[in-house]
Amino acid sequence: MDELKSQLLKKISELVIQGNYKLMTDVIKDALNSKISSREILDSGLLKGMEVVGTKFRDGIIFLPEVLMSAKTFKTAMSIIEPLLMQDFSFNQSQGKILLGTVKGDIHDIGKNLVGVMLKGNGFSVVDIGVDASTEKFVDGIERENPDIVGLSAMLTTTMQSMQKTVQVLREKYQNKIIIVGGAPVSQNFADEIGADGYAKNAIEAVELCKRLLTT
Amino acid sequence: MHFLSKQKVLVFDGAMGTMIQNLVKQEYICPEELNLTHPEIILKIHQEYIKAGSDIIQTNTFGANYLRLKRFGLQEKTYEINSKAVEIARKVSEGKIVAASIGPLGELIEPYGEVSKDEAFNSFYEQAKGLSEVDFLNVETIQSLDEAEIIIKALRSRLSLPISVTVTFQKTPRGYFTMMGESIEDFVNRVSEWDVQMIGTNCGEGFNQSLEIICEIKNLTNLPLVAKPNAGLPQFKDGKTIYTETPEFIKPLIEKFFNNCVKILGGCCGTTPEHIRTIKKIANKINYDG
Repeated sequence: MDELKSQLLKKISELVIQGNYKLMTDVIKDALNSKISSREILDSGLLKGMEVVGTKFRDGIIFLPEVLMSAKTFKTAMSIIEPLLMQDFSFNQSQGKILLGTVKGDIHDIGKNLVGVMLKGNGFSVVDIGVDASTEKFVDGIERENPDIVGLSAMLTTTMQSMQKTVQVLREKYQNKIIIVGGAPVSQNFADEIGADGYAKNAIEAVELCKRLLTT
Repeated sequence: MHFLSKQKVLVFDGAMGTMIQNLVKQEYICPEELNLTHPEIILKIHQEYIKAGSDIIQTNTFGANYLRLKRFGLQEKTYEINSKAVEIARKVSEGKIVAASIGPLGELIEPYGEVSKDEAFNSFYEQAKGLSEVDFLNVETIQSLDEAEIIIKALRSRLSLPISVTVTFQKTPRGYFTMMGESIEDFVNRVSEWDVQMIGTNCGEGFNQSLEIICEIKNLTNLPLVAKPNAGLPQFKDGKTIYTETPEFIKPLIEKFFNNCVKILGGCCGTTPEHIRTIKKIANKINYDG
């Protein structure tokens, strides 16, 4: 029984790494039938797989297409186990709420969406206010959702100023709100200069950053 | 391509987007809409680059494909925005070469994203309609070779002008790759299947990295090379976005580009007429003294 269990969990993490979303539904059902808890599926199957994906991505072994397929496979599994996870008291204690948006003038959302998927998979609740989001839209979102962290994304060198202005306004209005930034032209240096609390190079690092910021 | 044989090396222009940003007080607009609403601003940028020594100026059409304009509600003006951009550039070109800037969709194409291949094709087919009066088509900031292939097919369906394709590579622990994981070698191999006359690299992390990429490309192809590097990655100091690679910084690197088969050198994000002036001085030396 235990061997079957570990085999199935291994299979789940392999499917995530391969980005094989087509087989995932059946394997998750097998796992649930074999009395593996949704929590175990998440922690010892799905997240373990995503961790490998993250490392391979960081090391330049795989790229965006592979990560996107892995994220899709991850989401396929999550759509089945999410209702079960919600019944799990310890999981229901969300790791924290993150509000995400792409700043005004910028219409790019590939990176932001990936960050959202990874955060959700790691137990955060995520609110996405979309692209081309004005400062007012961020403020509305913060008032409505009261997130623990606000994440801003920018893809263009020409919209970094928009990011800076949004951070400035949010900083004045919400002294204690944690603000993080990311996107192709963004760097740690830029994040520091504009007064953001954190910067992550990619979606994997974004999860680590949010965890770190909420435990310190 | 008679314009390539005119001189040993040619000077492209510098950034359009970051220049617009410095000139336009109104914030966060669709930059290509300025072709219709404030042509004088685009005209002024072209003039400054010509004054600085650009042999080639580029139209303000980087994001003027149908789908990208649609995100600003301007899709019905695709033809108008493109043809007006060419008209503005031609007005001040005084015999200089005019290139059309064609950037990517900014969205992922199926199976990774929502945009179908047909939609992507049609988006650039619509853009091409307004670009018939330029000297060549500059497909730039490419991060997916599959997308580049679609763009080139769409352009070729309407226009028989020379095409240049420049790719943005990222440095990884295993070398240079596109966002989609394609290597420099993949790029050169794929291009050989297309009807393309010039290749190279643009945008990216700065002149040093761009030079490294060029040195790899030149070993794999005999096509004339084009480089338009960023002035480094943007930083933020004293309330302003600044680029660290000043004209002074890039000066010692310019000759190395030309020595490594680059036929056309200019600049991308963060470069200014001052950068172009610096490039021109060295280009002049090569064209007239050497």
